[in-house]
Amino acid sequence: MAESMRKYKSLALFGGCHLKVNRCSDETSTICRPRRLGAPTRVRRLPEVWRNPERGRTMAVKALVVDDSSIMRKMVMRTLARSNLAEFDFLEAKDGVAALEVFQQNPIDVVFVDWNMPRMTGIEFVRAVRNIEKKHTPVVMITPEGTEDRISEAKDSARVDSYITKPFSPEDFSVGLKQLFSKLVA
Amino acid sequence: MSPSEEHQDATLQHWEYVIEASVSVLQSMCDAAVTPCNAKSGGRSPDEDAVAAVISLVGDLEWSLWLEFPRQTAMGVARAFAGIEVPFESDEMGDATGELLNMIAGDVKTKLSRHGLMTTLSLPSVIRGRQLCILAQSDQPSEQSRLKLRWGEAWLGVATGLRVGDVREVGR
Repeated sequence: MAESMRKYKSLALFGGCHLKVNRCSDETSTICRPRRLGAPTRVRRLPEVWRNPERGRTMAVKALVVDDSSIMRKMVMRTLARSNLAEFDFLEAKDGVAALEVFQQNPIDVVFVDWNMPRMTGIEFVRAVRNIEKKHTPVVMITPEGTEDRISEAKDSARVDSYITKPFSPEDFSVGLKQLFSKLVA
Repeated sequence: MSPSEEHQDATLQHWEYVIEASVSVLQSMCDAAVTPCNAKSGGRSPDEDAVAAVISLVGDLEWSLWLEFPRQTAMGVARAFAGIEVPFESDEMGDATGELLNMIAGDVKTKLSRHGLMTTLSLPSVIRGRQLCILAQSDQPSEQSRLKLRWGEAWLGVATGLRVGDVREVGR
């Protein structure tokens, strides 16, 4: 009996609890766990895809940049690289058809896409992505199309996460990205 | 006002939006002061290379916008826009010109929509050559403006098309 008691006591202490022993043989003993005082602290962190949990440091974010203008693709990548919001690993595509191939062959964390492109428009590409993705991929639309009906169409029918109109300043871009990041964390 | 003058007045009623948009886009993307001038007060050098982009707005209005940069202006604008030297003969030069006009047209489209005029943008087409001349139909309303930038001059224009149902026979 003493041996059993010692085992139970060890087990209770291992779990951060204490053992309350009832001396009466026909009543059970209980293991009591101390209650923590105060509400637990909520840790707001980026989704797992943005962090390497094993090494505890930020890993590169795989960003797909889609625009029929090579100059605009370079500008977007340069602005992102200078934003210091994350470390980016870029993939590019010049239209929606090429972008869909890249998306299907690579794990993409975020997409930056123009609207008007040959072969497949940006909005058609995003709708195609929504049909095949296993989990929601954040999409930022970057386009000179700034009318309300376009913005509504992008957000309602294609679930675009953020919308930046051209021309944009680096500050506009950072604000748009911060809005996107805050949605991902919330 | 004659019917043709009324038609011109109506279809080019918002021409000032094109000027405003071009000034705004070139200033913000190229960090350049832009001064619109009368197109007739300046002349193009006939032997100078130039690059031009053309884009259409279709819908409640039928507009073709164009933007033309002579060689020196194009080099300066592209360098300021892209942040790197862009050779005049390169694909990137056409890219830069087309993209700037794309932004101008997008801004014009947004402004027109606030007046209930809904339009769709085409993709820009880019032309490069010597003695470049953008032609507009003589019997259709059109407007042009000259822009002064620190690298040189540029030309901006709009030509209108016939609206659906508004067909005039040639010669009448």
